[in-house]
Amino acid sequence: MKLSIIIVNFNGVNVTKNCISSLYRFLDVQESEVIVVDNNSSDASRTELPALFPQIVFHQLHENKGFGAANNAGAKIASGEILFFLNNDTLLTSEITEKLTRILMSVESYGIVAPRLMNGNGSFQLSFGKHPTIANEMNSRKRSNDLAAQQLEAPLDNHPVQKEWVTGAAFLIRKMLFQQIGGFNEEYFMYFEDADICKRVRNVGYSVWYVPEASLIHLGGMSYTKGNQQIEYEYRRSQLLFYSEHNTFFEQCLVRIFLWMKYVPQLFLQSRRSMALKILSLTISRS
Amino acid sequence: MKQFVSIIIVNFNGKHFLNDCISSVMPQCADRAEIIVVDNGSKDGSADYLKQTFPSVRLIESMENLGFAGGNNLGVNHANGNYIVLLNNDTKVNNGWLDGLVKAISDDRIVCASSLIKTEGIPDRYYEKNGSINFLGHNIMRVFDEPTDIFFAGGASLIFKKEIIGLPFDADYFVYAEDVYLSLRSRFMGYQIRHTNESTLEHFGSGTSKTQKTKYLSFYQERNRILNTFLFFSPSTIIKVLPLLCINAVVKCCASLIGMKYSIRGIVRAYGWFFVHRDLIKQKRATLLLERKVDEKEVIRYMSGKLTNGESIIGKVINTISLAYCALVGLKVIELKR
Repeated sequence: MKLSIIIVNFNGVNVTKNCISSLYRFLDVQESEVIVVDNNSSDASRTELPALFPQIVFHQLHENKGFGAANNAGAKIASGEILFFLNNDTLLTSEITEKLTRILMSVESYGIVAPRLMNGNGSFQLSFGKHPTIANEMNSRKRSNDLAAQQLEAPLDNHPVQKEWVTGAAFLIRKMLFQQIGGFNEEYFMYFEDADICKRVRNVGYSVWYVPEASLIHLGGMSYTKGNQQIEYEYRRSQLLFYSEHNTFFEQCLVRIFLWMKYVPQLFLQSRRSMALKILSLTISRS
Repeated sequence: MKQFVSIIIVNFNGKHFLNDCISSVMPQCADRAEIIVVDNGSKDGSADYLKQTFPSVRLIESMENLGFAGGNNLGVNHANGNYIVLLNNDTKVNNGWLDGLVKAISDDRIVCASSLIKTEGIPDRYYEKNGSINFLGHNIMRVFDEPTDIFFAGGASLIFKKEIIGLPFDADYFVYAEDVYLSLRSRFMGYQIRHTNESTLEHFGSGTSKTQKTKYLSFYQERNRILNTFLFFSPSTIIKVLPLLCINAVVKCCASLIGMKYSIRGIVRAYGWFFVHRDLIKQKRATLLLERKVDEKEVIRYMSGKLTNGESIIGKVINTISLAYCALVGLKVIELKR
């Protein structure tokens, strides 16, 4: 067996069902296995999914420790030499696994390959970028509300392009390499774990590639959850962690200045005070 | 071999249409077709109604309104069939509707076909001959002599081959003229479009758009009609068409100022959009160029050079001048072939 597809499910039984059935329409079952890691869902996932798809490897976790931890658990029981991490809110619309595997194995130094992602309505989804620094993050933030500007980033031909970072929604990695770097860093709960793993892959001499020729649908990528303070806190926590691990001291100072500028004024807003306080205390406690 | 068909119905606040539409389609499906309803975030309880009344229909709920273009694309992404049928929700299909459509694209050169759509209030004689479009994206009626010839397959009821077309629309169109986009794409890929009178349905007409503001509708209608011309034709053709476009812009602005069906803000915004999004248009043109197989002459020879459908003396004068202009600059439209 060559390919292990790892899908993390958390309370998304219907979405995951669609994802798995779209997978099996194109998968070469002799050469691959599908591992579904259930992150302690409270919906019908744990009974329905194994019943509906007896051919999958269903792995039940009893505590939700986040996206990275669940993926690591899936990787541990995977028997393929290539791991394909796939979000559960994706749909395959053509045969891409064979193509992506072939490209990943074609050159010794290719560490990660990722397909082109598209929104449910068929438009291009920006799913790669430069290594996050203050300047790069500001740049992409400027574009985050301008869908037209994002579309301009879409590659026009089908040649694989080398990137510094691709999204964790769908990518393939060599299992040897994944084990060598120790898998996902489980300290990140839901953000920056993809940028982190790409950076660590590049640190050990492998490269990250985006393959426009192979595309799949990523449904969740359309809406950026605004206003949820818990998510905003997790985002900032991951950001600080990422900067302290991968960026220069200067960048670490910059991100703190930026966060102070953003969150000190929010201390005067009743509704956002407690979150702002938590984030500001993070900027001091994390070195 | 019988092809599996996915029938996609996009619904936006159209609960009262769904029963007529789906119960007329369902008996024709049997085991060779599935019905997929994409609910574009309706607020009238359409989704719950569907789950209760038609549990065998595949319901895909979108949190936001993706428009007609994006909604259909989402449905196609979920579809299992090789043949895709797009159907408006404010319709009622007649016996043989699905068979007629499937039969119409059995030929390898044809990727897309449309049904005979009877809309309330349109006199019968308009159905005798199929229409085409002009360079401004207006429908010009009664153009083709052959009953199977048509320029574009109307989005209210059409069939296409998924393995060739892929996703039918550009989601940026949102609503209006996306069906013309699909047919232009197919024609530039070297395929033909067909019309079939064996597949018929009733259309209640603008069921969804009646509820929307004219400001938005004018914008999308005007922008998309012209965007089609800007995306598919060569720079030299666009320059030739430019005088017609300018006349069109002036006429539309005047019409909206005296309060005729257009909204001035929508029209101005539509023209402004082209200036702001020059790069995006370039990008889209480059993408479409990759799949192009035939010269634009092959497409232009099916287009109309008329400007209006009017049959009054003024309409005839305008059309004669416009056709003379086309002949002068070398746009070989269908009227000039005769």
